[in-house]
Amino acid sequence: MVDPKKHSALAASKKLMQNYLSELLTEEQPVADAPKSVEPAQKEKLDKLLQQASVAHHIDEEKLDAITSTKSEDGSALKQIEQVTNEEPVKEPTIEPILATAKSSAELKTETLKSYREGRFQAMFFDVAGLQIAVPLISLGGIHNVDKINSLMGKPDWFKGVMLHREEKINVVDTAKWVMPEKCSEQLLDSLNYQYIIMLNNSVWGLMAENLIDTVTLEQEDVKWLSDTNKRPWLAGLVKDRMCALVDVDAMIAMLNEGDNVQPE
Amino acid sequence: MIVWTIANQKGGVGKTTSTISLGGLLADRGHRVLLVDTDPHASLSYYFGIESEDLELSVYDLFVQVSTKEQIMQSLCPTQYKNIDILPATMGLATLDRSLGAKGGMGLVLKKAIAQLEGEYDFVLMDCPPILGVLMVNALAASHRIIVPVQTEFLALKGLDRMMKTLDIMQGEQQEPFTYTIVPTMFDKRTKASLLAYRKLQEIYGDTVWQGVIPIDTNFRNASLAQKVPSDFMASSRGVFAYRNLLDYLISQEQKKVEP
Repeated sequence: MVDPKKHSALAASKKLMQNYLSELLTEEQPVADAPKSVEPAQKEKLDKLLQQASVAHHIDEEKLDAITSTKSEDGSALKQIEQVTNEEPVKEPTIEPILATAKSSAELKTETLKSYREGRFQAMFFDVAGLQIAVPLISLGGIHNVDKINSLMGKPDWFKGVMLHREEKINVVDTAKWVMPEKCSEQLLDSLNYQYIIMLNNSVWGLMAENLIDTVTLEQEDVKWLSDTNKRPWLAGLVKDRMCALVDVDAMIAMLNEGDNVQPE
Repeated sequence: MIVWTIANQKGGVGKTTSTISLGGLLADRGHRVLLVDTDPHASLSYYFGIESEDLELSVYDLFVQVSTKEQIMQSLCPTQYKNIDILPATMGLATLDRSLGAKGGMGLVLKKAIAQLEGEYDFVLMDCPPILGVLMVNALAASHRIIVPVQTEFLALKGLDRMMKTLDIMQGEQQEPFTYTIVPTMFDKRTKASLLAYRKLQEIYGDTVWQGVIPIDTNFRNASLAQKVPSDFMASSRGVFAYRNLLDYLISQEQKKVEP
């Protein structure tokens, strides 16, 4: 006889998969065509998303998958991001500071599951001035080629400027000046050949990179985790065999959001 | 234009080898072939000597901006074979699931892009990553036939079970029924395990399993070292012979589909 609990978990998993595939394979209506009031079609979509949210909650209870969700404060819209993995279940979600993004003027409360602090996780390595830096893949918002960057007056040295990408503004951080300001001689700065912008999670912040190296699956013991984060809160730890920095993306975003007076040291 | 996707959620079953071998044989027969690399590891791209991180455009760009036919054509790279072009992958593809999530309609990006190339190619072969995500969903949704290579060993059968469940769930979202062919690969006739796994495959999946097998053949590895398609590297090898038989079978199946 099938265990009812197991059966229910399998059904929820299948439902979640159906919803995921359905979303991917269903065209979104253009924003301009969307009705302003909650029309039946929109309501149906919201109901569907809300259903997904309840399924997601159930899955979390069953410790099947890791799910993150983002919900607007005023309830006028609901956006859900699901991250379904087959990796080990994560424990308690960490509540992150309230962040403002370019995509919405409303403040968003973001719950981020720091799944890379437990079990295996993937990290992407890039380099800047010969220094390798790793970012957990789950915290990566995307990679863009460096385009025209407009510098802004009165900003700190590490704030390279603003780059437009598909009509969205990206705040570009000069990674070398952020990570190792003491080593940034004129000669070193002249030698830099920034080619990519590594986007931090869903934020407007992007780190400049010279080269993308590779993505690697790391075990917890591959990293020397740093508990004393007073000096560099953005530094989650050191990847032992490469002796390179692993970025705590959420901490870095929080520091960057703090404003211009925040210095890396 | 016929689109085949080579997919399996298990890694190391011969997806890229199958893509390259079938692509090479199709080109030998005078067909114009486009190979699409949707795996962030970019093995297919590297096979043809393409350093994908040096490229200005790749599959990645199709997902981050709406592309015209001209832009898609600019993303294509020629290979040393005049009938084979490649749409290369980049490492940035690894971020798509994170950056796009389950955004509406994002599973149809490749289908729309490939449709714009109608008339430019006779066959499009897509190599998938071994992970169910936005890239695999895109490749599956765009294809007329899914070729599922399966290593003839019992662990791989479990992976195939997972892949079949995915296809089953996805079928509900598709207008056209999926057509798929299971291809037993890495068959080692010296081992009993290979034979048992092959029989089990036929027992469970019946007619959807191709009746032949792709044998273990070191020429595949040597061909990749030489950056040549296997049929060019050693046309008389047993591996190429098997892929030639597979291609005959696949084409006969496509012909059956269009027959009244």
